[in-house]
This record gives sequence, structure tokens and C-alpha cells, in this order.
Amino acid sequence: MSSLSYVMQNKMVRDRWLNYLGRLVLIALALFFAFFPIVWIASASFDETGTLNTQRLIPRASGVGNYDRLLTSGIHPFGTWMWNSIKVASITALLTVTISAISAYAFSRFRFRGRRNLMLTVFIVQVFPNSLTIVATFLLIQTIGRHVSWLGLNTHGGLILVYLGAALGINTWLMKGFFDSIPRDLDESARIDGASDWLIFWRIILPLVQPVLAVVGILSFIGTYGDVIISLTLLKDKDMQTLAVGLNRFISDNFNREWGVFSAGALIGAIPIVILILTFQRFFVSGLTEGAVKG
Amino acid sequence: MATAKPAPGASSRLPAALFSSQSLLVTILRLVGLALIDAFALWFAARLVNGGEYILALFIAVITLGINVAFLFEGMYPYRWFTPGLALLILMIIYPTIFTLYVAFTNYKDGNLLTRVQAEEVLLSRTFLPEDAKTYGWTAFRSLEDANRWALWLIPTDGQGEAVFAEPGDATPASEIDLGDNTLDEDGIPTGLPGWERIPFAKTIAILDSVLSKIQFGGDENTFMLNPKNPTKQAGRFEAKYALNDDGTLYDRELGVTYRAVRGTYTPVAGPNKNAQGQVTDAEGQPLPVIRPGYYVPIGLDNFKRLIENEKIRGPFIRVFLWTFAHAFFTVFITFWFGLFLALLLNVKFTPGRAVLRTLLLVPYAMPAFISVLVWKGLLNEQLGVINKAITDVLGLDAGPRWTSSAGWVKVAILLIQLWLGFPYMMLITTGALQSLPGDIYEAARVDGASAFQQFRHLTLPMLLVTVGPLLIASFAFNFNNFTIVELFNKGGPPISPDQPAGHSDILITYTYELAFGSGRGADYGFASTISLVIFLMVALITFFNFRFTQSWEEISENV
Repeated sequence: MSSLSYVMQNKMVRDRWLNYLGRLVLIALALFFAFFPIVWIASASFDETGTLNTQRLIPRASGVGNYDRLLTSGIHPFGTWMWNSIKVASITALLTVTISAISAYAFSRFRFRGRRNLMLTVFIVQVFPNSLTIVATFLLIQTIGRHVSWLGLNTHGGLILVYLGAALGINTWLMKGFFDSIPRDLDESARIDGASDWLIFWRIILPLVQPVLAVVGILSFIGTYGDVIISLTLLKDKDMQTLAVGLNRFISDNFNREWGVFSAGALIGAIPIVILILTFQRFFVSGLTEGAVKG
Repeated sequence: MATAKPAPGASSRLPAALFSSQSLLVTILRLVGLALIDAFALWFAARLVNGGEYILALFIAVITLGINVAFLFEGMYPYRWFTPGLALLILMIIYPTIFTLYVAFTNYKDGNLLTRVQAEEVLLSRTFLPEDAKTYGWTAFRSLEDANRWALWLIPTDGQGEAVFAEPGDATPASEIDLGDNTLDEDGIPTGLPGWERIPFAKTIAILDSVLSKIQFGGDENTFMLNPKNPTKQAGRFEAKYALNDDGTLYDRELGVTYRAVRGTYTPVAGPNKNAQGQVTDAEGQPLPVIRPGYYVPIGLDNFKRLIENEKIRGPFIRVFLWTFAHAFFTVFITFWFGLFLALLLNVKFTPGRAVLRTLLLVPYAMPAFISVLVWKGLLNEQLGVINKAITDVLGLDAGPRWTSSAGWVKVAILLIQLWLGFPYMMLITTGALQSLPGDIYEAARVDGASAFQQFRHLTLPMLLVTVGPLLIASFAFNFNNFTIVELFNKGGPPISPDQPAGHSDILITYTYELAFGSGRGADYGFASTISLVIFLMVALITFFNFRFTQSWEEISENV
């Protein structure tokens, strides 16, 4: 290797690193923007002074007092809210997956009159989120509740019922695409052995489509967990509310004084979802799922 | 998405074959299940009709009919698989949409919240104590099973007639009451009754006003209540205050006044006293008010006229309308450019730690939005928040931007929060799109002497927009209705004018919410639904635009 090319190569390496470091400065600024609020509330949650006004980045007196108050003081039933959110989101996710899988199987495997129109209808209907009809939905749940009390206002039954209106929607499309990729030879051979449609669905297809079931379940869970408009409209009692409603009321009541306790609650409430999304991030890129969670 | 086209016609003959092999047990189970669903639906629909909820009753009937058809006719076999999803879709999405359309043309609001049947039921159950009413001395009894259930033993004060035992919903003459082991004391009051405990008068004083005075004892025909003028001593036999005439007017038997329903509100039209202006008045000459509750009725285009013709409403509405578009547009604009900028920074081949950096930059997107907004609300607090403290310290100002109380700054604050929440998503999708761009055309561009900026402007950007264009429009549609951010940050405030529910940061959906559920102003479901229709129209236009100018509809149709 001649000395000239050695120098040139050396210069290229140096330029490459300079370019990288330059970009790193910009990326560091972006990271600061992204993490500054999170670091700030993490610090607040361990700040024993506990108010918005007195907080410093490095707490003068640190401890877990805010977490202790969050989980034990009776003023704000944080544990109940968290449990309500997880309960409602889990049941909604489970039922959404079930309803969606049954429908997707039929869309994928049966050919019948009206199939195409039904699929397109489902696609068009889901373009209009049910938050647009929030007034009518509220009145509907109020009316249902007059006759069937556990599906009325201020019940988790009623809330889940509203969420399930969207069970047959974009999820079904997502699943149907996946079901289509399972070879039909499998069905046919099982059918020759005398298996019914239900048996084929249950014993052959479902085990093979577990990934898409998981994706739809997670999407539904995250979407339900993050819903504000419907839960805010339907749930009135403190003990019935989900985290999204409760946490809001928390800080509306007494923002400054409760800042430390709120920060602790915000962190605990966010961590499960952050882990879920970062773990499954590649599913959120897919074009079909955009907007299903947020955008 | 990969779609394997199934062999055509393969399953068309299957259902029939399946049915023949089905066991009798399965058929019986299916019919029993169907019967249970039908019984429930019939009960539910009947109750809805009784309450005057005709549209909902019709939907319940249609859904139930559909389920029956799917399960009874072999030709409808595939639809059985859709019954749960479709039933929920029709009940929870289609019905509310149709009902929104209906309510937008009614005066469904505070004061007119009931159906006609419900309003009449409420009014006809109201009672009054006539001047010559029969009065009774009372003794309270409390149910042993339900501590909130009370009854009265009533003895006529004039000594004429029989004593009565009256509980809510029922009144029984004393002679028909089974005393059990108990006896009548010297006043003719039983010492106790089976299932009931006699409560001494002294113990009832504390709950006289709060509980006992509010209970209607006895049935529709024989209604007894404590006499409001002398509750400690007397109860009286009340009578129905209103009677419904055949022509639909309501007659007040106490005042002798006739009311006619005007737009669902009973308004006095005739009575014994009138003032000079012809208004019906009470004996003292005060005009009589309308009767509440009223019921909601169609009022034609009045809600729409209000929106267009009433200047106090139109002005704020136009501001809200424009901000809804501006908010969605600028959100997509700034998040896209910032996200693309970061994606380009990280897209260079030599970038040690790229995967970690990308994941770290995703964290804001991974946070539940409702939590992020509340956190930012704290950071942007005008007096105490860290951002304004830093601004005032560094720049030596007296006060920082008024993030929540100024019409302009609140919009900046919301866009700042949107930028934080949304740039990672844009980084994610543009990264994906950048990686799928063909490399060889850049080679050609370099040979032709195109600068890096020219390559970006004329190659990267156009190709990128083709891929992410539909996602940008979808993001626009999503933020068009981003209730969470706007409502949680500042409830749409600050108000545009003190007497209007619209605020400077309100978007259409939060404005709708405020009209329907906002505190202190009274619910106006009719007008809120009118605004909902405007949103519907806009979302439909955006979606149409998305399908029309991108290939996504063709893709969707092919995937069917």
C-alpha cells in the first residue's frame, strides 16, 4: 500500500468520524428534547418536597415518599384506577381478538354472496372513530343502563360494550390478510378427515396464527388503555374510573401540591405501555395499523 | 400484505355437507341459544317501546332478526361467523351514527331530555294535597330487610273511616293487615308488624325532611305523603296533580291551568288568571312558568340555522373550525419534517449505536398520550412550571409565555406537545421508506453532478412522499379529532367569549364534548350532534381525498 493511499484512507476515516460526531450533536439535542420531560418527572417522583414549585432537577431531599402516598393514601385510589384500566383493556383485547378472529376466518375461508361488500363496509365504517358519535353513544349507554344495569353509565360493562363496537374493524382486515397466508391444503386435508369448520378454525388455523392474534390483542390493549374520550364520558365515580380519567382528575384538583405524587403515578402508568410498544415496535410501522393506536 | 388467493369455489358446498353431519345435540343447543337471545331481545325491545325509545327498539329488532336468519337458514351459514362482530358494529357504531343524525334535528337538551312517553309518565306521577284532602296521623315503620324502606300507619284525624298501612307502591286497609304476634296499642297503632319494625316518633325527627317527606307512600290511586305544612303531625292523601286530556293538553288540577306542549315543553295556555299581556298567571299575578321535564321533538333545521345565523355562535365556531384544520395540518407538518430530519441523520451507513439511538428516540411515542399531555401541562404551568421558570431566569423576564391563558400561546403549546408526541412515529415511517428507496438512481444522479441537496429535493422527497403520503393523510385525519391532547391540556380554553362554550384551543370534537357534557352550561345534545355531523362530513372528505389521490383504495379492493 502506497503512503498516499494510506493518507487518503486515513483522511476518509477521520471525515467519517467527524461527520458522525457532528450528527451526534444534533441527535443529542433531539434526545434532550425527548427525555427532558421524562427525566424531569422521574426526578419529581423522588423529590420529597413534592410540589411543582419546589422541584429541582436533583432533588434536595429524595425518597420514595411520593410512591408511598400514591399507593396508600385514600384520597386518590391510584391502585384501583390502574386495576380498572388493566381489567377493562384486557377484557376488551381478549374479546376483540376472539370476535375478530372468528370473522377473519370466515372472510378468509368462505366465499358467499355479499362478502366483498361486507368487507368494504367494515373498512369504511372504521374510518369514522366512535368518538365522533360520543353524544349518541352516551345516550345509548344511558338507555341500556335503565334496563340492564350492569351495562349502563358508570359501569365497566357499558364501557367495554362501546369498545367492542370496533372489534369488527381494521383488526379483522389485519387478521384476514394473515389467515390468507395459511395454505388451504391444511384445511382440505383436515376436512377429508371429517373435521368441521369450527374444528379446523380452532385446532388448525388458530395455533398457526398466534402471532397476529398477539399483535391485534396488544394493539387493542394499548388503544383501550389510552382511551380518554369514551371513559371520560361514561365513568363518573372515582372508584370506577380508569387511569386516563383518574390521573386527569388528580392534577385538575390540586396540581401544584400533588405534583410529586402525580409524577410517580405517571411513571407507573406509562412503564407497562412503553415496554410493550418498544418490544413490539415493528408492528406499529405497518401501514394498516397506523392510526389504530395513535399517529 | 401478502395474500394467498384461495382456490375459488372451494368452500361453497361445505356448509350443506357440514349440516348433514351435525349431531342432533348441536342443533338443539343452537335452537335453545337462539330462543334465549330472542327472549331477551323481545323483553328489551318491549321495554324500550314502553319508554318511547322507538329507534333503538327497531335496531334491536333488526339485529335479532338478522341473528335468527343467519342461524335458521343454511344458505346464510357464513354469516353465523359474523353475528357477534356485526351485532356489536350495528348496535355500537351504526345506531349511534343514525341517532346522531336524528338528534341533530331535535331540541334534545336540558329541560327536554326525555321521550314523550317518559315525560308524561313523570308528570302524571306528580301529586298535590287538595285543600279538602283527608288527613291522617302517622307512625313510621321500617322494613327489617331493607333499612331504606319505610312505611306509614295512618289513622284518619277526623276519626272517619279506617286506618291504612301505606308502603311505597301499595296501600292496604288496616283490617286486611296481618298483625302476626303484635297487638294494637291504645292509639290503635300496632306495636310491630311481620317484616316491619315500628320506629318511635323521636327517632324519625332527624330524617323527617331528608327521607320521610320525600317518599310517596301508597299506589297511584291512594297516594299518601307527609303534609308539607305540618309534617311532624300529619300526613295527607295526595291526588294526581296533572291529567292528560284527549287533545294532548295537560290540565293542572291544583291550579286549574291548561298546558299545551310547545316544542316538547308544556306551556300554560289557559287558566283562571291572566295579566294584561294575556299571559296565564297565578293568583298573585305572576306569570306561570313552563313545566319541566319536557320531551325532545324534531325542530327541523333550527340547530343548523343557529350555527349559521346566530353571530354569537357563528364567530367562535368558525375560529374552532379553522383551528381544527390548522392544528391537524401543522401537527403533521412539524412532526414529519422533524422526524424526517432525524431519520436522515440516522440513515448514514456509518452510525455506531444506531439501533439504540433509534429506540431511545421512540420513547415519547411509546408513552400513553394522556400521560404525556398531563406531564407537559405541569412543565408548561405558567407560574410554577420548569419551562417558564427557566425562561424567566435565563432571559431575566418577569413572566414567561402564558401557555394556558393566551389565545396564541396555547396553540404554540399544543403544537409543541404534538411535536414531542409525534416526531418518533414520523421518524419510524420515514426510516422505513428511506431504506426501501433504490440505490442506483443516486449513483446516476451523482454521475450527472447533482448536489446532495438536489438529490434530496428531486429524488428522495418525491419518492418518500409517494410511500408515506397516505400515512400523512391518515395522521391528519387522526389529529383532526385528537380529543386527548386538546381536552387534557387545557379543556379547549381559554374561552373565546365568556358566554360561549368555545375556546381558543378547541377543536371540533372538544367543542362538541363541551356542548354536550361541559359543566355549568347545561347539556345541549341536539346542537352537539349538529357539530358532530360537521365533523363526519370533514372526515368523509379527508378519507375520500385519501382514497382518490392515492392508490390505497385499489390496494384495499384487491385485498378483498
